[in-house]
Amino acid sequence: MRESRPLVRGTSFDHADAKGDPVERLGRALREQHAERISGEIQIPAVLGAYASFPDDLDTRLAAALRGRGIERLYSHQRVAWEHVRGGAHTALVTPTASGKSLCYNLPVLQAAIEARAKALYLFPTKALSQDQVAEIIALNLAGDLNVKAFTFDGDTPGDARKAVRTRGDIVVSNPDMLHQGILPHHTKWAQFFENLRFVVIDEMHTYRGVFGSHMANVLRRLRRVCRFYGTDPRFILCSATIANPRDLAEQLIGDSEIEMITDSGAPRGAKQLLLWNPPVVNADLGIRASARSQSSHIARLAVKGGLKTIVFAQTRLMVEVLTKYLKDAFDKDPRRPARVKAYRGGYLPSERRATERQLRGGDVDCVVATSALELGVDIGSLDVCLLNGYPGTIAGTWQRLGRTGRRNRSALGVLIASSLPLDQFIVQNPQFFIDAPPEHARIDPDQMLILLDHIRCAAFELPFKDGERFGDRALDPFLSYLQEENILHHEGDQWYWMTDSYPANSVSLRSVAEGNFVVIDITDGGKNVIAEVDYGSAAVTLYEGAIYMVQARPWQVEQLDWAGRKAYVRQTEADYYTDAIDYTRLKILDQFDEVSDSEKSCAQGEVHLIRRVSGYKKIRYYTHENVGYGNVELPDQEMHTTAVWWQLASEVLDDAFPSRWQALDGFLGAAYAMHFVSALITMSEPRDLGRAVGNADATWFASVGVNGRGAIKPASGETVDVTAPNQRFAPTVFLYDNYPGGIGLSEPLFELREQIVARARRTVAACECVHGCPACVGPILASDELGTYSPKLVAGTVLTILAGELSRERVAIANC
Amino acid sequence: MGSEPGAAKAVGRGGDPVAMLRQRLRNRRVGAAAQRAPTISAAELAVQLGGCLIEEGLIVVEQRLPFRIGHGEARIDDDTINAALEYFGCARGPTVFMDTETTGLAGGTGTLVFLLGLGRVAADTLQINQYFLSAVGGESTLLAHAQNFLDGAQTLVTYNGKGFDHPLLKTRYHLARIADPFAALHHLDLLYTTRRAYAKRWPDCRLKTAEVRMLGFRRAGDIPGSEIPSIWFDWMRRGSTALLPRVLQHNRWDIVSLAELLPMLHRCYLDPVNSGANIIATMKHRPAQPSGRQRGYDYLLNNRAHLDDEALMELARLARQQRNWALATGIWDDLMTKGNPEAIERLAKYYEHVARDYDRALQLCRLLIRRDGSQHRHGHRETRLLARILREGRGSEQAHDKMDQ
Repeated sequence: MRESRPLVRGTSFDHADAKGDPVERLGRALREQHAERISGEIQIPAVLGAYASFPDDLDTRLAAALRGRGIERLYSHQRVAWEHVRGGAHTALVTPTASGKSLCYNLPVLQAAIEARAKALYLFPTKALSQDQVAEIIALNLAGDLNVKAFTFDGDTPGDARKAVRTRGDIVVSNPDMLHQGILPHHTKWAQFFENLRFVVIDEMHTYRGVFGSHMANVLRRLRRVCRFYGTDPRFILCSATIANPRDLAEQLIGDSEIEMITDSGAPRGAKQLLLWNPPVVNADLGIRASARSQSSHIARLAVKGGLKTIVFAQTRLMVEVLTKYLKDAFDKDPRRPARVKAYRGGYLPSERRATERQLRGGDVDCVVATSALELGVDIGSLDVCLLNGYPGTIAGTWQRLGRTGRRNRSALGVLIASSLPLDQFIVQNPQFFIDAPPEHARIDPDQMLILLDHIRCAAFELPFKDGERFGDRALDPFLSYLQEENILHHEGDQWYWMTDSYPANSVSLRSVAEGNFVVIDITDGGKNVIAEVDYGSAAVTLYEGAIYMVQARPWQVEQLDWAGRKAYVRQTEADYYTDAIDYTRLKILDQFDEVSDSEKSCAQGEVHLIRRVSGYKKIRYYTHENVGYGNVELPDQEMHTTAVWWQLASEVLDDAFPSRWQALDGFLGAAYAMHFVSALITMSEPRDLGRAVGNADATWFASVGVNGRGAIKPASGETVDVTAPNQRFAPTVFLYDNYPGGIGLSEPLFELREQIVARARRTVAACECVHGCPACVGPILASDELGTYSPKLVAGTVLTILAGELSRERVAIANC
Repeated sequence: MGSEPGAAKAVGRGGDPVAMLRQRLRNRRVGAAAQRAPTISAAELAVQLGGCLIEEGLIVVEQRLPFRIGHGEARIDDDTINAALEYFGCARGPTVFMDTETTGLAGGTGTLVFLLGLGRVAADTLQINQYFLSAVGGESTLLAHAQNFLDGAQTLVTYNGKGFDHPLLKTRYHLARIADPFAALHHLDLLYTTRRAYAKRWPDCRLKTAEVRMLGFRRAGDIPGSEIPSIWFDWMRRGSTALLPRVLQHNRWDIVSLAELLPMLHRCYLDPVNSGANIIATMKHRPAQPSGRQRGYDYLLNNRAHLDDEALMELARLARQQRNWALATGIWDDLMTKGNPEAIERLAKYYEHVARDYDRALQLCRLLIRRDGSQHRHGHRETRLLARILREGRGSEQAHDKMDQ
């Protein structure tokens, strides 16, 4: 890695007066008045800019365009990027939000377009980002009269405009899905473009992780293969937010290890302050804290009243709506006035999202409540305060969201409000961990067999494979033979030809399981208005009949769900509650790859079949958050194959260690809860990347925490299972699985770290200050538990002790006393 | 922390990937692997198809069909073809009829043209050359031979060739790095010509429908187009030849129909009334020279008894342009009795602006208003007419009645 050095160090920096700065004032007020809730503070000082002059070889028109846009000099990293890209290197940039990264690629690309009509392909993960980007190029183009043509090419591009894009576009701005389904399978139509393609720009590189990233790496393999056919070898320019392994990820994505890295930003930054906020304990015995949502909405109200532009990030779409309602109740009481509070999340119609973005940029909205959908580089201008309602799950994600504030040299305040979930509690109680820990790794597995096979099919459609050709690092012959057996390819001479009547890219979705979005249709006034879209994965937990579905905090009730037709019919309602789905998971072991065992315990890794079912929902009243009812849900199961790690204890050991099997079961549920979040922490993945389940090894039953707070058994078949019957095989198992179809290789590191996971979970449970268990260790418990005969925390501890292989040692110790 | 960066590794650890794939995909497997049975050679297939294997992978079947072969009453020769070409705005001269059979309808670079049928009129016969791939490797030879066949041609005639056959061939030429010779030809796609005349008259405008309705020809024992890709796959994988002659027959029928449809469509456009074609759509296609317009006027006038409302309105429009008010108002009066609102409006305008019979115009205007109910857009006309009537002091009582309402 070559270090990029600042070329000129700037000296002037306009500092806002701290006394008059309302952001600082709010930070001070929170610290002074709520010191006991603030468990940690992180101060990031302002950074001065490092600048460089325009390169000597910069085209004069381009220089004029920059000056026309008020740019008289470059940030040092922009200049370094210029040198690398002009030198013909693949280049990857890791710089914070709002550091002028798009100029890093726009400058060399525009210059090459002016000089040699060289073409460039820009790939953004979403359509919205593409449109921002084209607007920026057009502005430069106009300022310098450059005559460079930039077009977006995506699903919205009208048919008659497509030909012009293909033949006349100097810069084509698109997304991976369009490249995969619309461009590569029709590459001959793009021949002129590919023959002159010099640059491929991949922005928001860090979003290409997991399944999506593994697909992306394969789409880029296909892109480079098609380019070779046209005799070109474009240079890649990649931009990423901070992650632990940008070089690894860039190398894996483009399949090339010769990459120049730029990690030093020359852009100035305002001072930033992050407070770690733990809501007060309201019931010490149950370990229950005041809810994060009421704390978040309280702080947001303070900020907005203080005239500060505020963004609140929530973890789920549901929580976005709940928080929006609370804030609208405070600020948008008069429906005739324009809204001061807006919600922004996936599932809203694009037109609504664009409108909110515009209002944010124009400063017409005071507060936005959003999911991670706003974490990406959508331009929404500068905000003052960022509240995180709950830990986003990753350190990188936390910084990215905080990057939404303080964009223009202004100081900014962030507050991370912890929920009672274990990861949140761990973070706020160990601020040092948060300060010291490196950001997460972005893992991809481009050679995951099913993903690879999908793209080999697509690639074979695009151009016949030759014997001995490689795709990535894999020898292809076995895959090609397999596809021939399946009557998809045909080997003739030394080539493998596509030989079936289908268009493979249409059956391969880059974004894991996209089995068709659901539309939400409002039938309130007898009409049929589409008010939102819900992706397949979320439909079962948000659109069941009886669910309250919210848009901009207005409630609709789902009357009918047409699962096959992917439609939910909703009607406006006045409910004073919202709904939350109850789902549970069953797994069946299909194949065991690896196992380590002794007489007491075993840990194994392998392939599993997983069934997820939504069985019902809870009604939760606003503000009091009390449970006001339940409903049943009848929906088809969702199934997938994936990989998992599982732990088991011998039934004799269990019968010895526990007076009843029910206690053992509760112990497993508590242990699984702790092991789940510890695993997420240790493997630096997001908790939602991993799933957990507790069930019998032979899949005859699965357990979940029931309404009574105790383990409840769900038999696989309709028959009831009596786990206490002596002849019933009792082999409770903790499963941690890779939460993506096919798995993206998370279970293998889990298997390797199995001892650390158990040891750490055991320490966490033992060290927790609660008495009988709490959401920060073994999961929430009910009031009745503390009066019961045993403690959930204790039984979970026993299970973890046996799993750690420490039981016999403890017994010996006791015997020796 | 102790995690291994990039610890994600491929699922296949050692072992035979194909075996693993098979195992992992066992639930999805469809059918068993096909073995290519011992089978006949490409040269033998060429004989079966009535052609010859001219190079590795390419069979050419040449046929010269005298007219009235196969189907239809249509007579084809150079002259009828040339007249039709000229009528549809193409150059006279050598013309190629083209149709392909492919491995799929999806398009894209993975779809092959395994059979290319080309036809040319030579004096009073139709020369049909079919280029059939007995192996994928024969493709570049196929493309080169097609190029030779096009030599000297000026016009390409197809049915849906603009949307399907030609883009596919263009892709194949691109992939083979040969310039696409079809691109140089003027392309007349008869699908559009047929649609213009019959889209509103027929349930659909597929080639087979056109054959039945225009040429009076019904294919006997034809193979459905959707089954054609798999017949070729069966030859490639298993060497089955049984259905291949029928695929070639299918393609030949397409070419012959193309050659016959061209003059038939010409005839329809010249006499849409007696061809059951959309009179106005075909008339509007005519070249816009004054002579063409006059011909259209004469044609409509001569066929007045057989015109539909739309065509009558067009005739009235042409009559109005020529200030033949008797003819125009005669047509509008007829149509008004059938309740045609456009005709009533035309009459209202005529009585207001030409005949200046404001009472009659007002009467018609109110008829329109009653007809259209609250949706009407004639209030302005009514007010204006009332004003005119008042100004002229005629029919004032009626006008006052209206004002009082």
